[in-house]
Amino acid sequence: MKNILKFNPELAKNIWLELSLQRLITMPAILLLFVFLIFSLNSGEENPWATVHYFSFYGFIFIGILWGMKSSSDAILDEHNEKTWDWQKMSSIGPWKLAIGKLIGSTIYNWYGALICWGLFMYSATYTNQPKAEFKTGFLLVAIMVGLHGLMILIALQLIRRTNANTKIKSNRIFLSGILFAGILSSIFSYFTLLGSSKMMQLTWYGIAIPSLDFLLFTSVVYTLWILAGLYRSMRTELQFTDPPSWWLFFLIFHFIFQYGFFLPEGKMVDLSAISTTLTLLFVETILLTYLLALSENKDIVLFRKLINSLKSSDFPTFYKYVPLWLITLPIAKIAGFLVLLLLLIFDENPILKTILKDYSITSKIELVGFYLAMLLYVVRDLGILLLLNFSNRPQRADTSMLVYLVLIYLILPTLTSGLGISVILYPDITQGIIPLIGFPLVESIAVVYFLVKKWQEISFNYQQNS
Amino acid sequence: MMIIVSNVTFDYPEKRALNQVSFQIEPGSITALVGPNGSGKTTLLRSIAALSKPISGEIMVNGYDTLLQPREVHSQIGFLQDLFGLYDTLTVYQCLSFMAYSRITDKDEVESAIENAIEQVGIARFLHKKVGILSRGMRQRVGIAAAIVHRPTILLLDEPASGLDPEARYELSNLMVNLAENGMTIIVSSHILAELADYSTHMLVLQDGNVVEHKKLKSNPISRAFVYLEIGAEHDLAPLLDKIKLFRGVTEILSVDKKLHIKLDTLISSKHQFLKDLISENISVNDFSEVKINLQDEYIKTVSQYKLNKSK
Repeated sequence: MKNILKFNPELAKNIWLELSLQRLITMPAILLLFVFLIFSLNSGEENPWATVHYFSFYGFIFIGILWGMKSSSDAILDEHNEKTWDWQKMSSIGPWKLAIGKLIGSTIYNWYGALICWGLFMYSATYTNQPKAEFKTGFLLVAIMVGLHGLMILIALQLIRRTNANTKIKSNRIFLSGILFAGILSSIFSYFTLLGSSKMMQLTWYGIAIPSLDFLLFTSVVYTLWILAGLYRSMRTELQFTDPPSWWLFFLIFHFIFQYGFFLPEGKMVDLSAISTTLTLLFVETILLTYLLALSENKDIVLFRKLINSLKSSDFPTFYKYVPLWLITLPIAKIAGFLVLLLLLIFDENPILKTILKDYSITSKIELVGFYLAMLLYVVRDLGILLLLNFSNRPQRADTSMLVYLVLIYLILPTLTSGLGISVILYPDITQGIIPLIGFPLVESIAVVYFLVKKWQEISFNYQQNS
Repeated sequence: MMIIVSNVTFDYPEKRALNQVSFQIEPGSITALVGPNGSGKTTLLRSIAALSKPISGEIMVNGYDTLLQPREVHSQIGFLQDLFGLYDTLTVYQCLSFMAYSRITDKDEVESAIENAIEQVGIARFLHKKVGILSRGMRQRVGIAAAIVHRPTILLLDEPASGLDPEARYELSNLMVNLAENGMTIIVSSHILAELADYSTHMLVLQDGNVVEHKKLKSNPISRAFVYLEIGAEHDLAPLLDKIKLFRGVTEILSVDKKLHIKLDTLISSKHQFLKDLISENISVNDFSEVKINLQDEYIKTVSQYKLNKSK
């Protein structure tokens, strides 16, 4: 144990916390009992290993991935709730060691059970029709497990950063884990679809035909590495380093290049249609990310005061160091959208986008420009309301209120008022004509910005009075 | 100077917690950080510990900037917070081992550092008990051991005596003195001013995020008090004073008639020696007592003056 303590104290601590002789015996005992049961119940079957294969796959998902997701997020939340996190922040453990110690250490018991399942899965794969594909699936499961655990730690870190030190966070408050769980589970379950029919299916990326399973494995590994990079950066923040958001920008660039490969025709490296399609995708993704990050990041007044002061004194390095990710993602969305607009207006030769635009009843160039402007103005309106809620006297539930507002504006009200022709007040709707399309969001965003400026002036006045 | 705080301002969304705070802390001193709830004590301690970032100003800890070199600052500081947590399912020894290995970079030093912390804090007898079953006093000791296990030069304690019984408080006081004797610079925030008076060399008063007073109470934590002495009427004062000045440990004498206030350089050994010298010189003593600094009075006086100035 001393050697582990020397190598990574966080890992050693987690081994103490998570592993006991009783637990070490229970896990294999239960799993082997299941295998024994499978063999007993399927004694007449031709291939009971096929059932074991099936069982070990689900065992890995349940013990390794799902239970592991809970263990990994709990590891951070427990530190916050039990007030031990500040000890960690003051330790000399580096961000990388701390991240790995948490990632592997907090889920060490899940790894223990998952590896038993994994061993069974890989061994039983030899009894299946496509053992090679099954082996690859085995590695895919491991990559997904690491990636999801890392993601849960990232979410938990984000949550404790914006929560008062004396406020306990209930582990079930990471409702996102449920959403993620559902999404990821479905993608893992699609393994069976792949297994059945399309495991041999190929897709083209940068003109290269790659079997879909291989590509899935490659994608999982690459994005897991990005999650680990994000985890490292997040741990650095916890250890009081102040870093500019350059890695986030690198990720978005990487993401653009990665997606570009899907739309590139064979034998070409530059293609305007592929660029405009990828930029459109990036535009939509960065808009969604802006909302997601704005809802999850810290938005306290002190941060904005610091940002405004650094801008006033032209101290741009300080501004760049402290700028929240959502505030840096929004301009990227705007730029991506603007470039798409430019490419469509000048070249006008993207069949995929033309079809999509037609679906939205956008037929002329002026409508296209209007739609783009309306989208951006509605984003300004929504983010302005989010800030107004956060700057209010009771900001505790601001982000939850905003979520409710978003559901109301973009889901419930449009459904209730469909056919009344008032949807253009809520979101970009070209069917009402170009003037309402731009006019309504312009008025709404100006109103929100006006109230935001008034609120800021009021806060600044009160602050000066109290100082 | 061990800690230099210059023009530090710290804001919370709803209020300013520290307003242009400046002061310096001498090495080897014990500073009583006092002030009402919400005066900014915890924020100040967290800023010194490089756990919270002020919006302006600079804090230098043993030559390291808390904003630019937080990791170096962490290596210099042991910090026990008001509501600190420990890993309840670990044993005391496991808990200390984890803290030591995670804080000490030279891994060959770790075992001796753990032994040292155990000895200093006096927790050897419950090393193999689970942290979760310890009493509040014992838990506090383990917390202090965890805070000092990496042999920091500075120890910050936020309300360390709250919730402790009188015996545990007494032990904590002695521990403070022992740590200071070993050269540690200590800042203690507490509401229990009588206890702070026992060992504090300085008093730093915070009110509404401002430093209202920062004064020296005595030159070192061990010379905790003056001795009050009333000598018999039969003695001539002048020759007697000359004689007492030569006693071991006596550093200063103030006299009003035959009532003397004598400052000793160390409390326990000097007081004992001083009494022995009085008897051996056949000096008749009508009254003898230890004079304690009344921190409560000092604090009330300072705060009243601040409020008066503010109202003007």
